[in-house]
Amino acid sequence: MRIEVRNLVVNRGTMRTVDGVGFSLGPGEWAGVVGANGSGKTSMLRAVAGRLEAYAGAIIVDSQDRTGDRGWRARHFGFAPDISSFPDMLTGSELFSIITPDWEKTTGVGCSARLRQALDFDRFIERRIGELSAGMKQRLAIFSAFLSMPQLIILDEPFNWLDPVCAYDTKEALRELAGEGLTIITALHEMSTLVGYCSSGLLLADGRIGRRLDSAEIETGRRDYSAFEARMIQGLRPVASSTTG
Amino acid sequence: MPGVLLVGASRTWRSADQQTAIWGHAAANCLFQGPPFPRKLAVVLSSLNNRLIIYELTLFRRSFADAFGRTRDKVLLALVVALALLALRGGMPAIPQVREGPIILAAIVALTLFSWHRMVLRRLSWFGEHSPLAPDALCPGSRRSYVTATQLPPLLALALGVLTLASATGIPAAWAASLLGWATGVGAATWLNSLPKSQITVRKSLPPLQSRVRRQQPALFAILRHQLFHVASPVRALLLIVGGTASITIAASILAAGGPAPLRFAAALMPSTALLLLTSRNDGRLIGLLAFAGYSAAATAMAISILPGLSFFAAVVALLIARPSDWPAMVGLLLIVHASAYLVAIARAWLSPGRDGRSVDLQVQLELAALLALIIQILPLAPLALLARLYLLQRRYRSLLWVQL
Repeated sequence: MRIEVRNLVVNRGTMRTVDGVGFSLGPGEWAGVVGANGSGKTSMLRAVAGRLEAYAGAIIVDSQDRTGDRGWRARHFGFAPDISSFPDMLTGSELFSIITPDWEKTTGVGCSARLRQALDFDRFIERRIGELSAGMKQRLAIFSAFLSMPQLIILDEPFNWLDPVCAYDTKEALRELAGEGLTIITALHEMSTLVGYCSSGLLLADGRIGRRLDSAEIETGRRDYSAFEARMIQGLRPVASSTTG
Repeated sequence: MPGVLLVGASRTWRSADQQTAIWGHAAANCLFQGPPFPRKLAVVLSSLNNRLIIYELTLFRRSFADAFGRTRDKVLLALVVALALLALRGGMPAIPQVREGPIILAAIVALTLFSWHRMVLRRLSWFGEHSPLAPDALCPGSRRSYVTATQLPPLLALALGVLTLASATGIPAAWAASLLGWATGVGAATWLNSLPKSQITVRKSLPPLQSRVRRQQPALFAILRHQLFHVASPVRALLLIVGGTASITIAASILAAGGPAPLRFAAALMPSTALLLLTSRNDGRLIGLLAFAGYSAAATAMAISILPGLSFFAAVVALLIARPSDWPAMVGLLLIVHASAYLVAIARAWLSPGRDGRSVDLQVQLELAALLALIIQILPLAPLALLARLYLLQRRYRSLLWVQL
């Protein structure tokens, strides 16, 4: 699935949170979106995933304009919801069954099975969500994005709350999925994941793209991570953000 | 490239068409572009398999099981059912026919449906933005069947209400008034929902406790802020609306003097009752937190009482100033309305710690129905039952003090 976002503008209430962002991604690419808190990452990802209205701009998917059709985007892009949106009273299994009745069958094979193994939620899938820790809920949230087996996945800070083992296994599983053609967009806070796993990157500042990172720059970052991280952090500082956009 | 599959080593990703099949009825409803009648039929049929409705029903079933999981709750439910059956068998007491009956009925239905439909639309909006079921909530067909299905509970309540109040209005007039009220309430809620929303800052966290002496103050302010829709200055807002309520009550009582009794009573009671209804909201999670922060049952009851108490006080002072005829009866009626609302609020507050808001609401509504049935059937027992229930509720609350779930 090829997606092209042009001059996207998103408003939250009276505030403009995303202001003219654009990017393009093809099948098998994994883009990392990095930015300070409040820089517009979540608003941008939500708007692309159809969870928010796009005030202006265009979202082109496989050469078709899908900007006005939030429903189409919500159906065709996998999106991990915030864990606070999960109902405390239901078990993970009940929730997944409502979303996709035959989820156990459809996700038990192939690379989704690999992801399921990495997230390792089978041991608590029958427990009520309200009884689970934040990390356990996050595992369910990530997998819920994959239940309909979409070609494009959007994950907002997916590795928050995960323990190191689960975070590592999940990143590896996602890398495998990208290798098999899945397009992934993730908001990130760790530069190590950006250089270690992503094929491209976007630095967001004040709702605008402060900097684009192509595969060559990410490769450079892999070779000299300390210098790369220092450069990126400098780019994210509020003072520096005023010169970007 | 719809229909094209991206083939991997061990797994085939689903194409756009297959995604449509995965989202089943939601996608089908979105894509169905046939003539109006089959489209409507498709919407009705698809509601049987609407994920949003299945989700809501599952939550309702679980709330019900949680609320009545214990033996004494099951006994209480059995009592409610028995009393309801007794009430139906014995027949409802006939309400004397009044000329203003249809207008009052239409106003009640309009207000109820307005609140209900606002809640449904807000829920749909939440589904579309935050829930894993967003694809369904963003599909027009699925939304239509969800909205249609959510009209069923008020429809049942309306039918019951019409049958109950038929003696006061006459059945055709009751139906006409109800339908008018329904259309007004739903229409107003839909219109209000279509207006652009301004940015609202919501503060949900409880300020830290400062000292043992002043420890109730933060809770009082946090609850007051929530009841007053998070205005910047709750004290100023409180003084303004209480003063406003008193002034409106005085003005309305003077203007309605010499009019028929229903008009005089409505003029005297409506301002403070409206204030009570608008501000009787309590954040269940915030109140639930009070028990775990060490606030006693009495402190919690006090924390939620400021606004209803001041609303009652303002109305009584206004009536004493305006002195409309029948003012003692008006004060008595005000006392009943405010005390009832306050008791419901206390029951909700004492049930909230460690409980989900929906199951709390469900339990309170059923217990209220039981109490009403008891009032109708065996009036002398009702105050005793109420006191016993409040005692049990505060005992439950006390047992949860400082307990971390």
